[in-house]
Amino acid sequence: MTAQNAPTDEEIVAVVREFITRLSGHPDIEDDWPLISGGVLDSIAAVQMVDFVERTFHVEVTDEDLELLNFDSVRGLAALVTRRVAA
Amino acid sequence: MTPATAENTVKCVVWDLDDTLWDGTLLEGDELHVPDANRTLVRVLDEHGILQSVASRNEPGPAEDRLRGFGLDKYFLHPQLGWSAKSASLRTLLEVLNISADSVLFVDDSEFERAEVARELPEVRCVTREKLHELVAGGRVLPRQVTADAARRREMYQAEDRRRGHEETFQGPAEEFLSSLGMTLRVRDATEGDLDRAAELTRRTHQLNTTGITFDRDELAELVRDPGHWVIVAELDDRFGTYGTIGLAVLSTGPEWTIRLLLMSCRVMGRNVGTALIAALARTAAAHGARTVAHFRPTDRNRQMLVTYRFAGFAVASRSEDRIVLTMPDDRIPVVPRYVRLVTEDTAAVLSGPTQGVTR
Repeated sequence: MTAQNAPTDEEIVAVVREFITRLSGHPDIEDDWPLISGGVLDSIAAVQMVDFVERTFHVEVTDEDLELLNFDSVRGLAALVTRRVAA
Repeated sequence: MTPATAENTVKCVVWDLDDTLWDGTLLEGDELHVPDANRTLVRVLDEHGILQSVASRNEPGPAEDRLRGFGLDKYFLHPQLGWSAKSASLRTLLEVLNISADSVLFVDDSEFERAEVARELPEVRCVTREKLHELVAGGRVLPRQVTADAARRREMYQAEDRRRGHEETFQGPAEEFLSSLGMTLRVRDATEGDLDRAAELTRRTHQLNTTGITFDRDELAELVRDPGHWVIVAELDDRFGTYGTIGLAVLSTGPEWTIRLLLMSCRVMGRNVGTALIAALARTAAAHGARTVAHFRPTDRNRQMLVTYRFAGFAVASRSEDRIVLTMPDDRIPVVPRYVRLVTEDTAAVLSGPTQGVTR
Protein backbone atom coordinates (compact mmCIF):
# COMPACT_ATOMS: atom_id res chain seq x y z
CA MET A 1 0.00 0.00 0.00
CA THR A 2 1.45 3.39 -0.93
CA ALA A 3 1.57 6.47 1.26
CA GLN A 4 -0.99 8.20 -0.97
CA ASN A 5 -3.88 5.82 -0.53
CA ALA A 6 -3.21 4.57 2.98
CA PRO A 7 -5.55 6.21 5.50
CA THR A 8 -3.95 8.73 7.81
CA ASP A 9 -3.93 8.22 11.57
CA GLU A 10 -6.57 10.93 11.91
CA GLU A 11 -8.80 9.23 9.34
CA ILE A 12 -8.48 5.92 11.15
CA VAL A 13 -9.38 7.51 14.48
CA ALA A 14 -12.41 9.24 12.91
CA VAL A 15 -13.73 6.03 11.31
CA VAL A 16 -13.20 4.01 14.50
CA ARG A 17 -14.83 6.71 16.64
CA GLU A 18 -17.87 6.80 14.38
CA PHE A 19 -18.22 3.02 14.58
CA ILE A 20 -17.87 2.93 18.38
CA THR A 21 -20.41 5.73 18.68
CA ARG A 22 -22.87 3.72 16.65
CA LEU A 23 -22.11 0.48 18.51
CA SER A 24 -22.47 2.01 21.97
CA GLY A 25 -25.34 4.38 21.21
CA HIS A 26 -23.33 6.93 23.20
CA PRO A 27 -23.24 10.31 21.37
CA ASP A 28 -20.00 11.79 22.74
CA ILE A 29 -17.43 9.02 23.11
CA GLU A 30 -14.00 10.34 24.09
CA ASP A 31 -11.03 8.71 22.40
CA ASP A 32 -9.44 7.45 25.61
CA TRP A 33 -12.56 6.30 27.47
CA PRO A 34 -12.27 2.74 28.75
CA LEU A 35 -15.03 1.06 26.78
CA ILE A 36 -15.09 -2.54 27.98
CA SER A 37 -13.39 -2.24 31.39
CA GLY A 38 -15.40 0.93 31.93
CA GLY A 39 -18.66 -0.84 31.16
CA VAL A 40 -19.70 1.21 28.11
CA LEU A 41 -19.62 -1.96 25.97
CA ASP A 42 -19.70 -5.65 26.84
CA SER A 43 -17.03 -8.03 25.61
CA ILE A 44 -19.21 -9.29 22.74
CA ALA A 45 -18.59 -5.87 21.25
CA ALA A 46 -14.92 -6.85 20.81
CA VAL A 47 -15.92 -9.47 18.24
CA GLN A 48 -17.96 -6.84 16.40
CA MET A 49 -14.96 -4.50 16.49
CA VAL A 50 -12.74 -7.21 15.01
CA ASP A 51 -15.22 -7.81 12.17
CA PHE A 52 -15.55 -4.10 11.55
CA VAL A 53 -11.83 -3.25 11.29
CA GLU A 54 -11.09 -6.35 9.24
CA ARG A 55 -13.76 -5.42 6.70
CA THR A 56 -13.23 -1.68 6.68
CA PHE A 57 -9.44 -1.53 6.57
CA HIS A 58 -8.76 -4.90 4.90
CA VAL A 59 -6.42 -5.97 7.67
CA GLU A 60 -6.19 -9.17 9.66
CA VAL A 61 -6.61 -9.11 13.41
CA THR A 62 -4.60 -12.02 14.80
CA ASP A 63 -5.27 -14.05 17.93
CA GLU A 64 -2.32 -12.27 19.57
CA ASP A 65 -4.02 -8.93 18.89
CA LEU A 66 -7.01 -9.93 21.03
CA GLU A 67 -5.66 -8.01 24.03
CA LEU A 68 -8.10 -5.99 26.07
CA LEU A 69 -5.83 -2.95 25.57
CA ASN A 70 -6.46 -3.05 21.81
CA PHE A 71 -10.24 -2.93 22.20
CA ASP A 72 -10.76 -0.90 25.32
CA SER A 73 -10.74 2.57 23.74
CA VAL A 74 -11.12 4.37 20.43
CA ARG A 75 -7.43 5.25 20.65
CA GLY A 76 -6.40 1.64 21.35
CA LEU A 77 -8.40 0.23 18.46
CA ALA A 78 -7.20 2.97 16.09
CA ALA A 79 -3.61 2.24 17.10
CA LEU A 80 -4.13 -1.45 16.37
CA VAL A 81 -5.50 -0.60 12.92
CA THR A 82 -2.57 1.78 12.25
CA ARG A 83 -0.08 -0.98 13.13
CA ARG A 84 -1.88 -3.51 10.96
CA VAL A 85 -2.26 -1.14 7.99
CA ALA A 86 1.45 -0.40 8.14
CA ALA A 87 2.40 -4.07 8.46
CA MET B 1 -53.04 -38.81 14.84
CA THR B 2 -49.49 -39.91 15.36
CA PRO B 3 -48.52 -41.17 18.79
CA ALA B 4 -45.66 -39.47 20.61
CA THR B 5 -42.41 -41.25 19.94
CA ALA B 6 -38.85 -40.38 20.82
CA GLU B 7 -38.56 -38.30 17.65
CA ASN B 8 -41.95 -36.83 18.15
CA THR B 9 -41.77 -35.52 21.69
CA VAL B 10 -44.59 -33.48 23.15
CA LYS B 11 -43.22 -30.12 24.28
CA CYS B 12 -46.43 -28.23 24.74
CA VAL B 13 -50.08 -28.99 25.50
CA VAL B 14 -52.57 -26.30 24.46
CA TRP B 15 -55.91 -26.48 26.24
CA ASP B 16 -59.31 -25.26 25.21
CA LEU B 17 -61.21 -24.06 28.31
CA ASP B 18 -64.98 -24.64 28.06
CA ASP B 19 -65.87 -28.32 28.51
CA THR B 20 -62.20 -29.19 28.17
CA LEU B 21 -60.05 -27.79 30.99
CA TRP B 22 -63.20 -27.10 32.97
CA ASP B 23 -66.74 -28.46 32.73
CA GLY B 24 -69.30 -25.84 31.67
CA THR B 25 -69.32 -22.81 29.37
CA LEU B 26 -68.16 -19.50 30.78
CA LEU B 27 -70.15 -17.34 28.36
CA GLU B 28 -73.39 -19.12 29.18
CA GLY B 29 -73.03 -18.39 32.88
CA ASP B 30 -72.60 -22.07 33.78
CA GLU B 31 -71.18 -23.03 37.12
CA LEU B 32 -67.64 -24.02 36.14
CA HIS B 33 -65.79 -26.94 37.63
CA VAL B 34 -62.28 -28.25 36.96
CA PRO B 35 -62.26 -32.05 37.30
CA ASP B 36 -59.59 -33.29 39.70
CA ALA B 37 -58.09 -35.45 36.95
CA ASN B 38 -57.46 -32.33 34.86
CA ARG B 39 -56.02 -30.41 37.78
CA THR B 40 -53.63 -33.27 38.50
CA LEU B 41 -52.71 -33.66 34.85
CA VAL B 42 -51.86 -29.96 34.50
CA ARG B 43 -49.51 -30.25 37.47
CA VAL B 44 -47.94 -33.51 36.27
CA LEU B 45 -47.30 -32.14 32.78
CA ASP B 46 -45.72 -29.04 34.33
CA GLU B 47 -43.45 -31.06 36.61
CA HIS B 48 -42.27 -33.04 33.60
CA GLY B 49 -41.19 -29.94 31.73
CA ILE B 50 -44.07 -29.91 29.27
CA LEU B 51 -45.19 -26.36 28.57
CA GLN B 52 -48.89 -25.54 28.59
CA SER B 53 -51.04 -22.81 27.18
CA VAL B 54 -54.65 -22.05 26.41
CA ALA B 55 -56.50 -21.38 23.16
CA SER B 56 -60.09 -20.43 23.93
CA ARG B 57 -62.78 -18.29 22.36
CA ASN B 58 -63.69 -16.17 25.35
CA GLU B 59 -63.44 -12.63 26.66
CA PRO B 60 -59.83 -12.41 27.93
CA GLY B 61 -60.66 -10.68 31.23
CA PRO B 62 -63.30 -13.07 32.64
CA ALA B 63 -61.44 -16.18 31.40
CA GLU B 64 -58.22 -15.02 33.07
CA ASP B 65 -60.15 -14.30 36.26
CA ARG B 66 -61.53 -17.82 36.32
CA LEU B 67 -58.10 -19.38 35.67
CA ARG B 68 -56.75 -17.34 38.57
CA GLY B 69 -59.70 -18.31 40.71
CA PHE B 70 -58.94 -21.98 40.09
CA GLY B 71 -55.27 -21.33 40.96
CA LEU B 72 -54.19 -22.55 37.52
CA ASP B 73 -53.16 -19.31 35.79
CA LYS B 74 -49.45 -19.70 36.57
CA TYR B 75 -49.26 -22.93 34.55
CA PHE B 76 -50.26 -21.40 31.21
CA LEU B 77 -47.81 -19.40 29.12
CA HIS B 78 -49.18 -16.68 26.87
CA PRO B 79 -52.86 -17.74 27.06
CA GLN B 80 -54.63 -17.08 23.76
CA LEU B 81 -58.05 -15.74 24.69
CA GLY B 82 -60.23 -13.97 22.14
CA TRP B 83 -62.17 -14.59 18.99
CA SER B 84 -59.58 -15.55 16.43
CA ALA B 85 -59.41 -19.01 14.86
CA LYS B 86 -57.73 -21.64 17.03
CA SER B 87 -55.16 -22.24 14.31
CA ALA B 88 -54.18 -18.54 14.52
CA SER B 89 -53.84 -18.83 18.30
CA LEU B 90 -51.64 -21.89 17.84
CA ARG B 91 -49.48 -20.13 15.26
CA THR B 92 -48.90 -17.32 17.73
CA LEU B 93 -47.89 -19.82 20.40
CA LEU B 94 -45.49 -21.65 18.09
CA GLU B 95 -43.78 -18.36 17.50
CA VAL B 96 -43.61 -16.95 21.03
CA LEU B 97 -42.59 -20.29 22.54
CA ASN B 98 -40.26 -21.05 19.64
CA ILE B 99 -41.43 -24.65 19.23
CA SER B 100 -42.38 -26.71 16.20
CA ALA B 101 -45.94 -27.72 15.31
CA ASP B 102 -45.19 -31.44 15.61
CA SER B 103 -44.30 -30.99 19.28
CA VAL B 104 -47.74 -29.62 20.18
CA LEU B 105 -50.83 -31.42 21.48
CA PHE B 106 -54.04 -29.42 21.09
CA VAL B 107 -56.90 -30.45 23.36
CA ASP B 108 -60.44 -29.41 22.49
CA ASP B 109 -63.90 -30.94 22.98
CA SER B 110 -65.15 -29.44 19.71
CA GLU B 111 -64.76 -31.58 16.63
CA PHE B 112 -65.10 -28.44 14.54
CA GLU B 113 -62.15 -26.73 16.25
CA ARG B 114 -59.96 -29.83 16.07
CA ALA B 115 -60.72 -30.15 12.36
CA GLU B 116 -59.94 -26.47 11.75
CA VAL B 117 -56.53 -26.80 13.44
CA ALA B 118 -55.82 -30.12 11.73
CA ARG B 119 -56.54 -28.52 8.36
CA GLU B 120 -54.42 -25.40 8.95
CA LEU B 121 -51.61 -26.99 10.96
CA PRO B 122 -51.52 -30.67 9.98
CA GLU B 123 -48.51 -31.40 12.20
CA VAL B 124 -50.28 -30.38 15.39
CA ARG B 125 -51.83 -33.39 17.08
CA CYS B 126 -55.46 -32.66 17.96
CA VAL B 127 -57.16 -34.68 20.68
CA THR B 128 -60.09 -34.71 23.08
CA ARG B 129 -59.32 -34.52 26.79
CA GLU B 130 -60.28 -38.17 27.18
CA LYS B 131 -57.69 -39.06 24.55
CA LEU B 132 -55.10 -36.86 26.27
CA HIS B 133 -55.62 -38.67 29.60
CA GLU B 134 -55.38 -41.98 27.76
CA LEU B 135 -52.12 -41.02 26.02
CA VAL B 136 -50.53 -39.85 29.26
CA ALA B 137 -51.63 -42.98 31.11
CA GLY B 138 -50.23 -45.06 28.25
CA GLY B 139 -46.79 -43.45 28.63
CA ARG B 140 -46.99 -41.63 25.29
CA VAL B 141 -46.59 -38.07 26.49
CA LEU B 142 -44.33 -37.75 29.53
CA PRO B 143 -40.56 -37.98 29.02
CA ARG B 144 -38.88 -40.91 30.74
CA GLN B 145 -36.20 -38.73 32.29
CA VAL B 146 -36.69 -35.26 33.69
CA THR B 147 -33.60 -33.11 34.19
CA ALA B 148 -33.62 -30.40 36.84
CA ASP B 149 -33.77 -27.85 34.03
CA ALA B 150 -36.76 -29.54 32.42
CA ALA B 151 -38.67 -29.56 35.70
CA ARG B 152 -38.40 -25.77 35.90
CA ARG B 153 -38.80 -25.08 32.18
CA ARG B 154 -42.04 -23.14 32.54
CA GLU B 155 -40.56 -20.94 35.26
CA MET B 156 -37.54 -20.29 33.05
CA TYR B 157 -39.81 -19.13 30.21
CA GLN B 158 -41.65 -16.81 32.58
CA ALA B 159 -38.37 -15.42 33.96
CA GLU B 160 -37.11 -14.85 30.41
CA ASP B 161 -40.29 -12.95 29.50
CA ARG B 162 -39.88 -10.60 32.47
CA ARG B 163 -36.17 -10.24 31.71
CA ARG B 164 -36.80 -9.36 28.08
CA GLY B 165 -39.30 -6.71 29.12
CA HIS B 166 -36.65 -5.20 31.38
CA GLU B 167 -33.98 -5.37 28.67
CA GLU B 168 -36.20 -3.70 26.08
CA THR B 169 -36.97 -0.74 28.32
CA PHE B 170 -33.54 -0.38 29.93
CA GLN B 171 -31.51 2.64 28.85
CA GLY B 172 -27.93 3.09 29.87
CA PRO B 173 -24.48 1.59 29.44
CA ALA B 174 -23.92 -2.17 29.17
CA GLU B 175 -22.48 -2.50 32.64
CA GLU B 176 -25.35 -0.69 34.30
CA PHE B 177 -27.73 -3.11 32.59
CA LEU B 178 -25.67 -6.09 33.74
CA SER B 179 -25.56 -4.69 37.29
CA SER B 180 -29.32 -4.20 37.24
CA LEU B 181 -29.82 -7.95 36.72
CA GLY B 182 -28.29 -8.99 40.06
CA MET B 183 -26.64 -12.12 38.65
CA THR B 184 -25.35 -15.03 40.72
CA LEU B 185 -23.19 -17.66 39.03
CA ARG B 186 -22.98 -20.98 40.89
CA VAL B 187 -20.10 -23.23 39.95
CA ARG B 188 -20.10 -26.77 41.32
CA ASP B 189 -18.85 -30.28 40.66
CA ALA B 190 -21.03 -32.10 38.14
CA THR B 191 -23.03 -34.93 39.69
CA GLU B 192 -24.98 -37.85 38.28
CA GLY B 193 -28.09 -35.68 38.00
CA ASP B 194 -26.31 -33.16 35.77
CA LEU B 195 -25.05 -35.56 33.15
CA ASP B 196 -28.04 -35.51 30.77
CA ARG B 197 -28.10 -31.73 30.65
CA ALA B 198 -24.28 -31.60 30.39
CA ALA B 199 -24.23 -34.01 27.44
CA GLU B 200 -27.04 -32.00 25.82
CA LEU B 201 -24.98 -28.81 26.20
CA THR B 202 -22.00 -30.37 24.40
CA ARG B 203 -24.26 -31.33 21.48
CA ARG B 204 -26.22 -28.10 21.22
CA THR B 205 -23.71 -25.36 22.01
CA HIS B 206 -21.64 -24.11 19.11
CA GLN B 207 -21.07 -20.41 19.49
CA LEU B 208 -19.86 -20.14 23.08
CA ASN B 209 -17.83 -23.32 22.90
CA THR B 210 -14.03 -23.40 23.14
CA THR B 211 -13.24 -26.74 21.50
CA GLY B 212 -16.50 -28.31 20.33
CA ILE B 213 -15.63 -31.67 21.92
CA THR B 214 -18.83 -33.62 22.48
CA PHE B 215 -19.22 -36.12 25.30
CA ASP B 216 -22.12 -38.48 25.73
CA ARG B 217 -23.60 -39.27 29.12
CA ASP B 218 -21.41 -42.32 29.75
CA GLU B 219 -18.21 -40.52 28.81
CA LEU B 220 -19.08 -37.68 31.15
CA ALA B 221 -19.93 -40.14 33.93
CA GLU B 222 -16.48 -41.66 33.49
CA LEU B 223 -14.77 -38.27 33.60
CA VAL B 224 -16.68 -37.35 36.76
CA ARG B 225 -15.36 -40.54 38.43
CA ASP B 226 -11.82 -40.10 37.05
CA PRO B 227 -9.53 -38.47 39.67
CA GLY B 228 -7.48 -37.02 36.81
CA HIS B 229 -10.41 -34.92 35.63
CA TRP B 230 -12.63 -32.22 37.04
CA VAL B 231 -16.06 -31.68 35.53
CA ILE B 232 -18.05 -28.68 36.64
CA VAL B 233 -21.41 -27.22 35.76
CA ALA B 234 -22.49 -23.62 36.19
CA GLU B 235 -25.95 -22.27 36.93
CA LEU B 236 -26.95 -18.66 36.52
CA ASP B 237 -29.74 -16.84 38.37
CA ASP B 238 -30.75 -13.22 38.30
CA ARG B 239 -33.53 -11.24 39.92
CA PHE B 240 -35.99 -12.45 37.30
CA GLY B 241 -35.34 -16.11 38.05
CA THR B 242 -33.04 -18.85 36.91
CA TYR B 243 -31.41 -19.43 33.51
CA GLY B 244 -30.86 -23.04 34.57
CA THR B 245 -27.65 -24.97 33.98
CA ILE B 246 -25.87 -22.84 31.40
CA GLY B 247 -22.21 -23.78 31.62
CA LEU B 248 -19.99 -26.83 31.51
CA ALA B 249 -16.23 -27.24 31.82
CA VAL B 250 -14.07 -30.33 31.58
CA LEU B 251 -10.54 -30.04 32.94
CA SER B 252 -7.73 -32.55 33.18
CA THR B 253 -5.93 -32.04 36.46
CA GLY B 254 -2.31 -32.61 37.50
CA PRO B 255 0.70 -30.30 37.68
CA GLU B 256 -1.18 -28.21 35.14
CA TRP B 257 -4.95 -27.96 34.93
CA THR B 258 -6.07 -27.97 31.31
CA ILE B 259 -9.49 -26.70 30.33
CA ARG B 260 -10.27 -29.17 27.54
CA LEU B 261 -13.77 -27.86 27.04
CA LEU B 262 -15.59 -24.81 28.28
CA LEU B 263 -18.99 -23.88 26.99
CA MET B 264 -21.87 -21.62 27.84
CA SER B 265 -25.44 -21.80 26.57
CA CYS B 266 -26.40 -19.01 24.18
CA ARG B 267 -29.11 -18.16 26.75
CA VAL B 268 -26.43 -16.15 28.53
CA MET B 269 -24.97 -14.47 25.45
CA GLY B 270 -24.00 -10.90 26.31
CA ARG B 271 -24.04 -11.48 30.07
CA ASN B 272 -20.22 -11.66 30.30
CA VAL B 273 -20.40 -14.54 32.75
CA GLY B 274 -17.77 -16.54 30.83
CA THR B 275 -15.18 -14.32 32.45
CA ALA B 276 -16.49 -15.21 35.91
CA LEU B 277 -16.51 -18.91 35.07
CA ILE B 278 -12.91 -18.80 33.82
CA ALA B 279 -11.92 -16.92 36.96
CA ALA B 280 -13.52 -19.62 39.12
CA LEU B 281 -11.58 -22.35 37.28
CA ALA B 282 -8.21 -20.57 37.29
CA ARG B 283 -8.50 -19.60 40.96
CA THR B 284 -9.38 -23.13 41.98
CA ALA B 285 -6.42 -24.45 40.01
CA ALA B 286 -4.15 -21.85 41.66
CA ALA B 287 -5.45 -22.84 45.08
CA HIS B 288 -4.31 -26.38 44.24
CA GLY B 289 -0.89 -25.09 43.21
CA ALA B 290 -1.51 -25.66 39.51
CA ARG B 291 -1.31 -23.25 36.61
CA THR B 292 -4.19 -23.13 34.19
CA VAL B 293 -3.90 -24.09 30.55
CA ALA B 294 -6.73 -23.80 28.03
CA HIS B 295 -7.29 -25.39 24.67
CA PHE B 296 -9.10 -23.56 21.91
CA ARG B 297 -10.15 -24.99 18.57
CA PRO B 298 -11.30 -22.24 16.21
CA THR B 299 -14.51 -22.63 14.22
CA ASP B 300 -16.27 -20.00 12.15
CA ARG B 301 -18.57 -19.23 15.09
CA ASN B 302 -16.67 -19.38 18.36
CA ARG B 303 -14.18 -16.50 18.27
CA GLN B 304 -16.07 -14.89 21.15
CA MET B 305 -14.65 -17.57 23.46
CA LEU B 306 -11.08 -16.88 22.33
CA VAL B 307 -11.70 -13.21 23.11
CA THR B 308 -13.02 -14.23 26.53
CA TYR B 309 -9.88 -16.27 27.28
CA ARG B 310 -7.57 -13.52 26.02
CA PHE B 311 -9.36 -10.75 27.91
CA ALA B 312 -9.27 -12.88 31.06
CA GLY B 313 -5.48 -12.81 30.77
CA PHE B 314 -4.62 -16.03 28.92
CA ALA B 315 -1.68 -15.74 26.53
CA VAL B 316 -1.18 -17.80 23.37
CA ALA B 317 1.52 -20.37 24.20
CA SER B 318 1.54 -22.47 21.05
CA ARG B 319 -0.57 -23.36 18.09
CA SER B 320 -0.92 -26.28 15.76
CA GLU B 321 -3.05 -26.69 12.69
CA ASP B 322 -6.35 -26.90 14.52
CA ARG B 323 -5.58 -26.00 18.11
CA ILE B 324 -4.35 -23.05 20.12
CA VAL B 325 -2.88 -23.66 23.56
CA LEU B 326 -3.27 -20.77 25.98
CA THR B 327 -1.70 -20.34 29.40
CA MET B 328 -2.50 -18.10 32.31
CA PRO B 329 0.67 -16.24 33.36
CA ASP B 330 1.66 -17.10 36.95
CA ASP B 331 1.35 -13.50 38.08
CA ARG B 332 -2.19 -13.00 36.84
CA ILE B 333 -5.30 -13.67 38.84
CA PRO B 334 -8.38 -13.48 36.63
CA VAL B 335 -10.97 -10.97 37.60
CA VAL B 336 -14.62 -11.61 38.38
CA PRO B 337 -16.72 -8.77 36.92
CA ARG B 338 -18.26 -6.73 39.72
CA TYR B 339 -21.81 -7.33 38.47
CA VAL B 340 -21.60 -11.13 38.94
CA ARG B 341 -21.73 -12.75 42.36
CA LEU B 342 -19.67 -15.92 42.08
CA VAL B 343 -20.53 -18.85 44.34
CA THR B 344 -18.33 -21.94 44.23
CA GLU B 345 -17.94 -25.00 46.39
CA ASP B 346 -14.25 -24.22 46.73
CA THR B 347 -14.80 -20.86 48.41
CA ALA B 348 -11.24 -20.59 49.73
CA ALA B 349 -9.93 -20.46 46.19
CA VAL B 350 -12.34 -17.77 45.13
CA LEU B 351 -11.83 -15.58 48.18
CA SER B 352 -8.11 -15.53 47.42
CA GLY B 353 -8.66 -13.37 44.35
CA PRO B 354 -9.99 -9.88 43.77
CA THR B 355 -13.41 -9.20 42.36
CA GLN B 356 -12.34 -6.34 40.15
CA GLY B 357 -9.16 -4.70 38.93
CA VAL B 358 -6.24 -6.39 37.24
CA THR B 359 -3.77 -7.80 39.74
CA ARG B 360 -0.15 -8.40 38.94
